Amino acid sequence: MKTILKIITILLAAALVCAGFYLAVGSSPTSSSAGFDGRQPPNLQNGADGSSTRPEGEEGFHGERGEGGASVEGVLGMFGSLLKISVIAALVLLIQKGLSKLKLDKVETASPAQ
Amino acid sequence: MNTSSKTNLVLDLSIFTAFLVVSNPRMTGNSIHEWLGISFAAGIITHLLFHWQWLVKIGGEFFKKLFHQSRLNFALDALFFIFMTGSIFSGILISKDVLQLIGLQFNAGQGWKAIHSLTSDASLIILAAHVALHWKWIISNIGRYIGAPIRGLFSGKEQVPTARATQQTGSRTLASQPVRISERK
Repeated sequence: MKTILKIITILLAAALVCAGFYLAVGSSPTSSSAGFDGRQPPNLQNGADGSSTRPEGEEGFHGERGEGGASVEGVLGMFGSLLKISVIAALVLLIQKGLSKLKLDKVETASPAQ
Repeated sequence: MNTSSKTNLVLDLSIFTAFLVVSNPRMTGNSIHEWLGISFAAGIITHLLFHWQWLVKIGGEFFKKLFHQSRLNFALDALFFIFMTGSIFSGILISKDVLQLIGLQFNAGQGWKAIHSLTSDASLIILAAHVALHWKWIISNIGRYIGAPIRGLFSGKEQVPTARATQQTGSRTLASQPVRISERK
């Protein structure tokens, strides 16, 4: 029961964040041209039966391939993401180490005066 | 919710791997990308449930002592939650397969696509910082639960990790070595 309440709390927080994004996109000047206010967006086409269809280019809706297994490009992309994470994490660790060294130096310079 | 370090490590490594896979839709194809993205939310919720006590404790005293690593962690985690929620929400709105399956279709346009890629990139940066801030914990637990058993396999003996077996000193982890009675002098 307690866990369910916690899950509901997390979902409520997520719903608030979603509402924030929804409002942000809705109030942005680009949203009207993107068909956000219920109008048909320019990138959707009406079929013969009145149903709208998504553009199906070679690269899919947002740049990725539609179906299919793992491509070499995809695996390389995953290692690229791993590399990005490693570089950023290394930078943060360096900054953290530098800050703690500065703090230590400050303590060492302050202690002889006492 | 009391969970062992092992459970936390398994969950965190699974979430990290899922993040790497889900952030590269070219690898999986669109359908798996969309479904994995949605199931990623379950992983995040479980992670939050595992650390609920910490969240409540730090959240409660967030503004009392502002400049502290726990607060930095909390702020980063909150940002990650916001960006990941934004990414999943915008992903659902621009999805082709998930919404089609349940018979829904939103006229989501370029704005949502831009938000999807922006929040995904921001999540990657914050995840990297999150990993860096928990580096010592990650390394010590990987050494304890993955490194030690592998070393045990090669040395011919199984090293069972216990709470007493590892003592963390700074960034180094000292694992106790088995001593044969016949070797004693």
